[in-house]
Amino acid sequence: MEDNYYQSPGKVKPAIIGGIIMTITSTIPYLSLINCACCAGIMLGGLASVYFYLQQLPPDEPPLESKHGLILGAFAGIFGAIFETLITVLIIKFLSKGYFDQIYIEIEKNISDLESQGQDVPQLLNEIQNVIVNLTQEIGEKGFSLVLTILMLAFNTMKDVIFGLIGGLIGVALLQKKSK
Amino acid sequence: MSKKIIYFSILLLSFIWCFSIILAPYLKATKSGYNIFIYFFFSRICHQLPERSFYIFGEKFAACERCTSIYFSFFVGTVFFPLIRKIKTEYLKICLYISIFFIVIDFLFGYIYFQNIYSIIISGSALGLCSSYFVVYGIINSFNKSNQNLEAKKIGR
Repeated sequence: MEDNYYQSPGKVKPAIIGGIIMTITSTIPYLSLINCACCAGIMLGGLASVYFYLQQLPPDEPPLESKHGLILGAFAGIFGAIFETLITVLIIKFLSKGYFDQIYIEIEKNISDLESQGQDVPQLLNEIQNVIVNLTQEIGEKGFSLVLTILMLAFNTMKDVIFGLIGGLIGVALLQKKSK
Repeated sequence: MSKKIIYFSILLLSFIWCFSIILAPYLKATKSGYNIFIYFFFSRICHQLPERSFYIFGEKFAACERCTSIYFSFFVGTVFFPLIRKIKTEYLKICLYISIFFIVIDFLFGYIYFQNIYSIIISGSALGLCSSYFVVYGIINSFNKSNQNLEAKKIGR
């Protein structure tokens, strides 16, 4: 019984490495341009987690299954989202407080366009605008906003998990050795 | 979970994703105001440069030409997955390698030398089409128990 016992290597370490790669390719200026190609940097993180997991596998062990790639990519996405959010929070606190400038200007432009044409402004737009004003004020005063951090974490998790697991699945397809 | 449910869920999600790329310019053209949310969502995963975007209803798509090509061809690949899966995996793997190589070269040349719309569309579509098989196959295998057992048997576990 013991001879047949097989314990697969841990997935946390490769997933953390994948998450770090995702964070590096998402936050470093110029290098983040890689994500212009359909979040290639994030997919690379998912693929890297599969690669490092494969490095841990002893040579005589059975090859990877698709579910391993899916889990590794998704885990790497979760770690990537956490690291990315932490770095963004630090950037907002110490370097840039104009995080919402772009979307605020866009909403303002949309509202003024609608008003100038005599059309009704959707209530949701006004509400979102108020929320952004409140968040901007909070960041201006304290340099940190819990609501914004949670929103960023949720969005980054969704984005990194989706593209991370795609990267993980492609990683299994590309890096998988033929079964004997 | 049954294979069909998983497959149609992926197909539906892929359709919604692609549809929202076209919905954004439509909403902008009709001045509904809600387009801002779709554009903002895609702005986090795409540069959305006007000179690198397709246009419809006089407004740009929510994603750039390359991303749009990848997403739409991924959707097409998902639609034709039942047919594509009949092709040998080894051939598809070679296609995936070639498409990745092609898109990397095209991407690098775009910043260093030149880029044209045809190379963007062809390289993006090739990657989306080739990767769709492995993504759909991988997700179905991961969630479908009978497939996992089959996969385990194949590799002698």
